[in-house]
Amino acid sequence: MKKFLTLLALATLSFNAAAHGPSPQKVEKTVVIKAAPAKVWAMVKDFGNMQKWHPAIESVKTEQKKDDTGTLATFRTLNLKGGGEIVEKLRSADDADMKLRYEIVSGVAPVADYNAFMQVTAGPGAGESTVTWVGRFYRTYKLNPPIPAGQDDATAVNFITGVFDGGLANLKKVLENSK
Amino acid sequence: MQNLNFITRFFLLLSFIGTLAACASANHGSSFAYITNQGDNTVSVVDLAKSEVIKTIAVGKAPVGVAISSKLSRAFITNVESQSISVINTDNNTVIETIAIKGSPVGIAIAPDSKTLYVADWYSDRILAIDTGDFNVQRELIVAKAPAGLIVSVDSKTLYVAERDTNEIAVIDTKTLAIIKQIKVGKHPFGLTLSPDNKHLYSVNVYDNTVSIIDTDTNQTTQNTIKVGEHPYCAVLNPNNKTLYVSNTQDDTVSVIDLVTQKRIATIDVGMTPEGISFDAINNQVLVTSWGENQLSVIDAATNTVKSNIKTGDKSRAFGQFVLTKPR
Repeated sequence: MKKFLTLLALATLSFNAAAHGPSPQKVEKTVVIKAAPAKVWAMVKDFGNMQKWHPAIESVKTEQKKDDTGTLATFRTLNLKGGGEIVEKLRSADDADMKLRYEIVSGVAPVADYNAFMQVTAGPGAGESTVTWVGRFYRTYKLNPPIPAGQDDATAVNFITGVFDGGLANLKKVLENSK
Repeated sequence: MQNLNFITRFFLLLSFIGTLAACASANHGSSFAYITNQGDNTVSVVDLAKSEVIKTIAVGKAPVGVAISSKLSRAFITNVESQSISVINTDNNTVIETIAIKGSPVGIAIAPDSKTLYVADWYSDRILAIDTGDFNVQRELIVAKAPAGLIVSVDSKTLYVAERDTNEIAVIDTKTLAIIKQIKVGKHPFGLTLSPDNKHLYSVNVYDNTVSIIDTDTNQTTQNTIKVGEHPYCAVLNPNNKTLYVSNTQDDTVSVIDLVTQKRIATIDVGMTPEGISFDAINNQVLVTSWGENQLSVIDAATNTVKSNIKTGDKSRAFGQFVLTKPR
């Protein structure tokens, strides 16, 4: 958590959707939660209430507005503990697959062209659920090497790893402690 | 009469079998896929008849693009993060040379006459033309922003470059390296492919989920664009020139397009983030990498269904034409 906030403080660059680097990065994390899949999915798909389970988020505001293609979409603004905002767009929330897809539109995360999904599956044990969180994104630096510190692949990967690890650990805690 | 009929039928049947055998032998030979694995800095060599990896070759950092010359027995790999090209001898699958590149090489293509290798530098908007007879002999030109996919005409006289950030295709005379024309296409063109008769060029437009069709005689786009899936990257044609296959990176599918009606006839679920796509004519199958699942999916072109998923290396991309065909 501390590491996450430190990284956040370093992330002073704004996100630019226009162009990105040549090598996409991936972070993939899973957690097993002792709770029924339907209960876990209900919390994961609740796009406007991420503060209920993510420890780095102070509050979330959602709004419906047109995206850059003119299609009406759901957006959320994550207000982070310690300052800073990340704006995200909901791509889909599929109840059959228990899969939520979203992307980052703008904000303080040191990544470019970020999109991700969270998926809930039943098991491995009876009454358990597995949550998989996968993000695909690029570093923020968009020129030939040398790549400055703070704008490289490692910074982007560490940041997202911190978001996923901290988030999944607390999602498990919140769900397993609630009756 | 009855007997004669039987004999006639018998001979007809024999000749039919003979024709089948002739057709089959026309496709004889072997084929191999060269798959770049961005995450572990390797190339997986896949025997496509057996659907198995026969060798894993260490290359430079974050390999992405592939160009193959069956004539030269070479595979050329762009290593974008170590700024080089690995040259693989496909007879023994070893790296025989590494060409240092000033810039960040991504897209790569070889002319059908195998004399010139073209490389796109992602950040400096440069195209390098490298003599395959002497890698030190290099020419270059500057194009519009973020050159991505490259392809060369069948007669080796024209190079097409997808200029991603200006939404254009540059048409380049390979003799003079002069830009003959800039063609406006959809938003963020990335992959390019040409029809076997060289009459049509297809540009895959990432941001508006479409494929633009360009008439190569007039260098103009046709009226229609083809709607495909989410964030498409690459496309390849069936050699029958009737079917186009497109990898959709953000809904994890391949769109199958009938080029007569220009409509999507099938959507095939593949692994997460499909990127490079090529056609294996020997085995009549479509091959698509999955960056997210570290595999190569094999699609039966007769049924449009996934036949197998072959495990490759970490973050498989294979941007470019990646199939090597060896005649028997």
